[in-house]
Amino acid sequence: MVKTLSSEHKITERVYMKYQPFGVDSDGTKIEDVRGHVITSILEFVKEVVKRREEESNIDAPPNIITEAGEKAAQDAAEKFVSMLNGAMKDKEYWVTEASLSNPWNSYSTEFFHFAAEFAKEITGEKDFCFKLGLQKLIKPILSVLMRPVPIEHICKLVALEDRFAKGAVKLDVPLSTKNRAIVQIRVSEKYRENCGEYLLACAENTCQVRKGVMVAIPRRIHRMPSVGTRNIKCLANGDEYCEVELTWERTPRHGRNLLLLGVSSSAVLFIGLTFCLENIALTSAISILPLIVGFHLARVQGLFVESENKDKLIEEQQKYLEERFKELENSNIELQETNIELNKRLRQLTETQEKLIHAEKLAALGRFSSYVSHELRNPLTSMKNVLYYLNKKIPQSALAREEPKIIEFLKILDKEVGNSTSIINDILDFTKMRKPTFGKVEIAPLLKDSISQLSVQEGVEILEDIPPHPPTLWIDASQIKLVLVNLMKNACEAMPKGGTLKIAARPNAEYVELKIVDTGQGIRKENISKVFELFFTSKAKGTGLGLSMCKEIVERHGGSITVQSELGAGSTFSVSLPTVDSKHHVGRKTS
Amino acid sequence: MTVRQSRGLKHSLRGIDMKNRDILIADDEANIRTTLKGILEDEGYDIVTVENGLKAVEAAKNEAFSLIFRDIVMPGLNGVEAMKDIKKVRPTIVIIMTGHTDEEDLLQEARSQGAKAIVYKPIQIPALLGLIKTALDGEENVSD
Repeated sequence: MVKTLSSEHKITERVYMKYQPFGVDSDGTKIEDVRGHVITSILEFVKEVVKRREEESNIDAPPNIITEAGEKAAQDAAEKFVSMLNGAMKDKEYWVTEASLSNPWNSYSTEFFHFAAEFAKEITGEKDFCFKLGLQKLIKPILSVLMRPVPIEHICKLVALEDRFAKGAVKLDVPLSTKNRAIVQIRVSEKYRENCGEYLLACAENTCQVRKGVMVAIPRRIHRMPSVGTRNIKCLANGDEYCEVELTWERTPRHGRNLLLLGVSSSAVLFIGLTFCLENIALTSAISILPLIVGFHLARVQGLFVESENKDKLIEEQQKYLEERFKELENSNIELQETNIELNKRLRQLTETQEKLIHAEKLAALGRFSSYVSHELRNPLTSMKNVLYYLNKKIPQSALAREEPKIIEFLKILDKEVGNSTSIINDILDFTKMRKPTFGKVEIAPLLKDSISQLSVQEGVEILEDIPPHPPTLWIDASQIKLVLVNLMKNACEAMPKGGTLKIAARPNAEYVELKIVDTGQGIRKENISKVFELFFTSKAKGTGLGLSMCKEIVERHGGSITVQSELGAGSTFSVSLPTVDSKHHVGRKTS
Repeated sequence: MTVRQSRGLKHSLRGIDMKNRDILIADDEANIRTTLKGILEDEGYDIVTVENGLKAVEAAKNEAFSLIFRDIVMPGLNGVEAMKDIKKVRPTIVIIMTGHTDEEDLLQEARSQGAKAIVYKPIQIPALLGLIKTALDGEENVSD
């Protein structure tokens, strides 16, 4: 059982809110102790009070300066309010903004409300903030509009009823309600007590003040009663189980009093007059009563007339109000939808970025590992090559070779495999060495010539070049692109073990030049075409799967693209688009 | 006459008593030293091998090598530093640096500091033999 502190201790002594301020709590229950419009009203009222005060202190200044100063003060106050609230919430997820606080459709916890109330008191310097809030801001327009036809004594009861449907933490009861007096009881729920903890008294005072403000506002604003008296019978802030307040007001003036008076006086005059004229008392009475009856009914008709006019006006007001609320709700919904869309977009972007990061990390890790392994393998390979050189020099002419012809064959095999190993290691090292391209002007013809010269073309393969007479100058890193071209051409040759045609064509487009490497080899299976550029994908028994993936990386870093078309059994065409010197799609700065 | 014999004759004719070994090989891999020594000796060169930069400098100070063939990255003394030290003692010596392609910047620095040639690993023996012959012939021209 928590020891309750005196009402001088405010809930803000907690520094941070203990309970979840809004949303759905860990049990799955929605937090709806306090309606959003209450918090919205607090914010609005803070701004109004501060604005009014500022305008009053600048009364001697010109009108536009007054308005400006007032508005600035109001804005500053709003920002301070928001930052004080956020400062009391450790979890940044719950941080609010002026916009989110202005949404009347939200709901909050009791604790949040009390923190807000205390901060509002601090910012405005208004001790009676809660009472004034209830009085001026919390008679919801719909209430004041809907309730006008209803006599005051019923309104109090209806307000209590309305609260009952609100699932709030505070319940109102109206045990007594007459034409000029009502008794209101304010009770708080267990959850309210839990939320407030040891600060129950200070919180109860806030709650009580707000409700009193509302109860006083009803006769004042709905029925335009001039003054309403309040008397505290019991109070939570004093330690009672509930608050009990007595409200008193003056009765409504009735319409048509004048007409009635007129009727009465006419009757009287007529009676006195007729007594002198007529002898029959009964007849005199009957006739003189007529004005009275007429006056009475006229008074009633007038009353009804006025009421009906009022009601028409009310119905119009109600309709307008409902339309506004509907619009508000629609807008709120649209905002939610937009937020949803934005969130989905961000989620997609984050997923893409994550995938890129993972890919980059894979590459980096691969690079480090391969670098290490290849390094370590290069020295052993050097020794092996040296040994082979020596053996190849000495053995073929020796007597041993004549006796054991297999030695020569095996030496050849050893040669080949050492060559293969060197190749693989070079592939890996090329891949891991991929640095940022250093751009420069490169002509197509010498580039192709250089690349072809690095090929070891087997027998039966014919190389054709198809380059237009004055092709544009490329803007690329020559050594890297050479790597790509050699790789592609090597693949093409390997796809034609029994011979074929390797065609290299250059097709200039507006901003790019497309280099096509066409072979008449075995082609690529349809299901593999999309995977061909993936890291580690290879259809070769002894492939590293690095070649094409590396080509794609390099080409894309140049701002270009690489695609493949292939038909099983007919051949493949690899198309590489590279930027030209004049291209706007440069990656990297031009140096002239 | 083999290369070695002609050299020996030349020097004895000059009357120089300092032993003029031909090539110093410096590499931290034992098998590379062994295999290179085997191949080059078979071609008629005199070979001494050491396994680090410090020992290379020491050896160069004590004996007059015509050519030093060394790995740019070895434990101990930095390749370029070692080269400068050796050049101080033997200004006419020919130095060939070997290295991997990712030691490119070091190799280029070595060249600018006076290395006669750079050779990338894995070493191609036929090309290397040609290079050594040219380098030593050049030196011979100079000393003549």
